[in-house]
Amino acid sequence: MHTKKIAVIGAGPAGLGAASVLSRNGLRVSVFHREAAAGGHLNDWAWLFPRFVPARDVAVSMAAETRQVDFHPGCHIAGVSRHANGQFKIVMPDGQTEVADALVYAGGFRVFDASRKEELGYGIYPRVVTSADLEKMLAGEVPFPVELLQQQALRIGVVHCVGSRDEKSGNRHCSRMCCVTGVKQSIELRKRFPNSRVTAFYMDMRMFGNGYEELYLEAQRDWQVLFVRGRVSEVAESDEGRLRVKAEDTLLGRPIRDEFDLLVLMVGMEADLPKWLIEDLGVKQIDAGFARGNDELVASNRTPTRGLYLAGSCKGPLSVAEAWNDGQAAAQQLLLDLNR
Amino acid sequence: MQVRDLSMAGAWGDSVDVLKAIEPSLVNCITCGGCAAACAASANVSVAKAILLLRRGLLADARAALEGCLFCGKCRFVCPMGVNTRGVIAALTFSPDSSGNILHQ
Amino acid sequence: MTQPFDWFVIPFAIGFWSMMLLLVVKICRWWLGFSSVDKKMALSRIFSVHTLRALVEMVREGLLHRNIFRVSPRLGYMHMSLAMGWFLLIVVGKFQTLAFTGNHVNAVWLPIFFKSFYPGDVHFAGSVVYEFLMDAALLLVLSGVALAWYKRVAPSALGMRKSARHIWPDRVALTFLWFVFPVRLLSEGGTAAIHGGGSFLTGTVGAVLSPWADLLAAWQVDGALWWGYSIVLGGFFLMLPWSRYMHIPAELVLILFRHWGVSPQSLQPIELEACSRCGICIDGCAMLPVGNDGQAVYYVRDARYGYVTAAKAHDCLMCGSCESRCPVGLRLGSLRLEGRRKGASDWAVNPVESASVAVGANGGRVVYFPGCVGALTPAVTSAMRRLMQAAGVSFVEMDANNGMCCGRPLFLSGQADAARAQVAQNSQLLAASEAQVLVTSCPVCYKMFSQYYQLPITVMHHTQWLKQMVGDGRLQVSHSDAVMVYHDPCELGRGCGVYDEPRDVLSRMVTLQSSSDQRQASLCCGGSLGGYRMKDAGRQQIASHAVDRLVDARTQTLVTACPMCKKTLAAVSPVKVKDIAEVTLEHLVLLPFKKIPHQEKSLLVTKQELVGA
Ligand SMILES: Cc1cc2nc3c(=O)[nH]c(=O)nc-3n(C[C@H](O)[C@H](O)[C@H](O)COP(=O)(O)OP(=O)(O)OC[C@H]3O[C@@H](n4cnc5c(N)ncnc54)[C@H](O)[C@@H]3O)c2cc1C
Ligand code: SF4
Ligand code: SF4
Ligand code: SF4
Ligand code: SF4
Ligand code: SF4
Repeated sequence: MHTKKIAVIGAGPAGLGAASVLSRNGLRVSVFHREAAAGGHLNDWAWLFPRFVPARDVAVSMAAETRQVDFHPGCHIAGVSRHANGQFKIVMPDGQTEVADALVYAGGFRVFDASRKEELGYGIYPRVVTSADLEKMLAGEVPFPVELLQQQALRIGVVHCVGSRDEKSGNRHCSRMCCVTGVKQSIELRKRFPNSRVTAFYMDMRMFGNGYEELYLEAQRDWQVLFVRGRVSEVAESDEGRLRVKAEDTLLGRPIRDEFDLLVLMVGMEADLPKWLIEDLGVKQIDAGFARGNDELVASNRTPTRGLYLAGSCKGPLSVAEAWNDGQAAAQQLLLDLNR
Repeated sequence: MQVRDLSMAGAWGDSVDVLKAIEPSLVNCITCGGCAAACAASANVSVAKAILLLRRGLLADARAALEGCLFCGKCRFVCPMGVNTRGVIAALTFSPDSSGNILHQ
Repeated sequence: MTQPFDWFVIPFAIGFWSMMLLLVVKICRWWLGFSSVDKKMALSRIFSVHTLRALVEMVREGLLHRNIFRVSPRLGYMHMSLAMGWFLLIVVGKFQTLAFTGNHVNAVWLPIFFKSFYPGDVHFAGSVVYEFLMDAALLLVLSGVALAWYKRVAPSALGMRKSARHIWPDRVALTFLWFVFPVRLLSEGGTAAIHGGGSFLTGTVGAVLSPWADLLAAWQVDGALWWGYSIVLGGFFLMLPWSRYMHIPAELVLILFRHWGVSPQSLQPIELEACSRCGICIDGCAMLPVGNDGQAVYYVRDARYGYVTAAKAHDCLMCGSCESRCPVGLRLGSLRLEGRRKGASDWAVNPVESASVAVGANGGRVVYFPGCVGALTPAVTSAMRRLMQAAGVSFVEMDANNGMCCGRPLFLSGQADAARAQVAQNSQLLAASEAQVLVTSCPVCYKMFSQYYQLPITVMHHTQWLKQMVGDGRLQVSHSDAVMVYHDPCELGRGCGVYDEPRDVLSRMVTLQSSSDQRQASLCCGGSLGGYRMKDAGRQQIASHAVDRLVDARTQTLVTACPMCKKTLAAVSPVKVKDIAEVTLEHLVLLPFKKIPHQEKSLLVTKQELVGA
């Protein structure tokens, strides 16, 4: 039985994955989490791709995997320092500190702020929403715009790569999750609004995971979602409040001018690393701003700082399953190092 | 429609390499079509198409794809890959040699 | 009296006469290049008050360098002391020889080598005064030379951040120039040591050297020094027409012809030679954060020698900062455009097909044109729409389908014909509409529509429209405690002189910070359409530099009035970037619904009213 104490920052899928392994191996685990409920971004989504499992259920079952942990909800960690003896001092919002022998950072990512792409009209036209907003609407937390519910034949546009693969937003990286999110949400919209027609504008379709390609096919075959290869360059509002979209159908080499009742922007995932992680704990970053592990192959959870581990989408866009597994992998590496 | 093979010996080197030297950012293009969608000139003007044609070694067709361009630069503001579209247009249409003296032409 | 001669005057004489010959040739060529209208105009003004005015300006700028004093007093002093000192040496020397020989016409070298031919205490009417004045003038020049040496080492000491990089003819001429006056001092001092004479400066040097007088005389050091003086002076004159120092005569000629009413087009060849390569334009250049070789000074230099590459012609954002700083008043934007125009091949633009413009569809009197890039800044355009509605203005949007361009981008890239076609087409469209006022959100369009189109309607930038609406009380705004700073778009500020309207409107709503880089001194955001060659990284560097200079710890919002500035600055700014229209909308006091009386009259201002406002 270890008497070592481990701190986990962030209780999203990755943090919970780490906490579950560590707690089951008899370590004393403290989990610090900004929000009240564990689950991270899972608490913001409705159903998960590829099988439409309710996201909240997943959060609950992940939390249930952990054993005895000291959970600090509503506890945003604003600073961590490392002692000469290798221990970490964690400062909590109330000023109290806690000391840990090792630290797993699982702080996750930030959703791109779509108002930074002014030409797409987010924050200007009420019927332009983001994929994150739509999850809330689908989950019933936020109502759909009333006009939509009354409309007979809805036209819905889905815009990929918003704030990803875009130098103008300062993000060159691909967020990986948004293509399949677009497919998932297109299907959900079609289910929710049977009279709707959904058109998705993409630059490339990236269906990397098990079941994603099948979902893409399903969207086209069963839900008549139209996929158009071309980037939306700008959005204007018509007098009736409909959204006028300009794009190029690059496969046909023809311009598209179309009007939609709702436009959903597939916002990307951005790095959201706290200053102390970089400046005080010496974590390096990749070009896209995410945290860099010691390498990408066999030590992606380790850092140059002894006792500090990285887990989940703080290192780059991951799916829920990947984040969970990565959290468990980080915990395993930690255990190996402890027993060495 | 003509069937072509893509070996195009020489064509690539002749056009793309020279133009790449003048406007290196053109290699960043992913043919997303954002530029063509935003284009203020007309439906037929397309930097995306021009770059694609250029990559296939079809210099004359590439030039034709820019006919009517107003040089307004709107496409550059939307390009997600940081292609200096106006630089590409200029390189293709009016300053093929960046080292030459233009006053004495 | 026969004119004295010595072989050492030969180098000087060669340099002097070759310079004179070349100057005459150049002036003749300039004259022949003038259009016949210009020639007639110039001839008609020879005996007129214009000539007097030209002379006054020649003294003010050619000798006193007042404009450079404005940039930096120390730099001004340097230029003034060199020009004024040398001028006095020539004039006083002329009178000195006149007084001594009694002849009006003397050999050109006589005043210059006077002390060599007539060493020691030579007495004639006023001789002491002349000697004193000559020494005083020499001292003045030497102080300038000392400063010039110092400036090479430490440009900042003379109020300049960057000094111009020079090419070899300039370096040779510069080296000669640096030595002319120190060598003259030594020659006169050496002669004074052997023969006595000289005033407070040369006499003192002579006194210091006098212990070695015998040695100097035996080795004929004074003769050698006069040879040296002649060589450096002749060398300088020889190089003058080929180097930057050509600016001395060219600037005077330029001033004269400007006053004689010669058209700017005809003056361009003279302008190219009137640049002193003083480098004052470099410091204000938008491209400085990216590099020091595309600036106006280097372009003008290359154009003067007839070698302009596409890179040189197009590596410029056309921000106009250099032009507003140039002490010679060179029209640097036009000069650059000329290079672009000459280098441009035919543009493939087909304007008739290129636009799908709907104007005046419902008979609106006010036409709103966001500008083509306006489609990418819907926050601005939707704010403007709502403000127009709030002000009770019935308007129609021009080019709602986005297919129109004012033509300025083509114009700025040297595609003059294509731009003209564009202008003609748009003019027709506007004429066919019932528009009486054109309001645009884009400063580039505003400059084009107001200065290059001959439109029978009023053209306004939206800052001007807002000022009028807020001033008339048709838009009522509140004052908040927000702290903002305003960025002057190049084309609106330096391009059209619109500086006060935005500040007027903003200061009614927020606390407006001032900055050292505002109005005339505004820094380009880097997103300008003036040059297409700037890389994205360079743009960002320029934008970051501008933002750093404008935004401080108190600033909450960076305001501008141009869609391109907004997009470019927003990419790098730590604070929110907004257009003045957005800020106005946020501060709009919505009156309890009250139909605003339809007073479209106040909209139909004339140009004069606008300028007067
Ligand atoms: C619109 C959208 C839809 C998606 N849909 C799916 C889907 O259907 N299926 C799927 O597999 N994936 C989906 N994803 C991806 C999924 O959200 C991520 O894989 C997952 O959230 C990553 O988990 P994580 O633990 O790494 O990070 P997060 O979920 O971001 O959790 C990190 C947690 O750490 C907390 N935290 C951060 N810093 C601190 C601090 N200093 N102190 C205390 N707490 C802190 C945060 O508040 C957060 O709760 C979607 C993503 C987006 C953008
Ligand atoms: S996953 Fe798809 S939508 Fe998201 S950034 Fe990558 S390509 Fe674009
Ligand atoms: S917008 Fe840029 S990346 Fe997209 S096609 Fe045009 S040039 Fe290529
Ligand atoms: S610069 Fe040319 S290609 Fe680009 S948007 Fe303007 S007209 Fe179209
Ligand atoms: S252009 Fe004007 S400011 Fe620039 S170096 Fe020449 S004279 Fe000086
Ligand atoms: S116009 Fe602006 S960018 Fe061009 S040389 Fe002058 S200061 Fe520099």
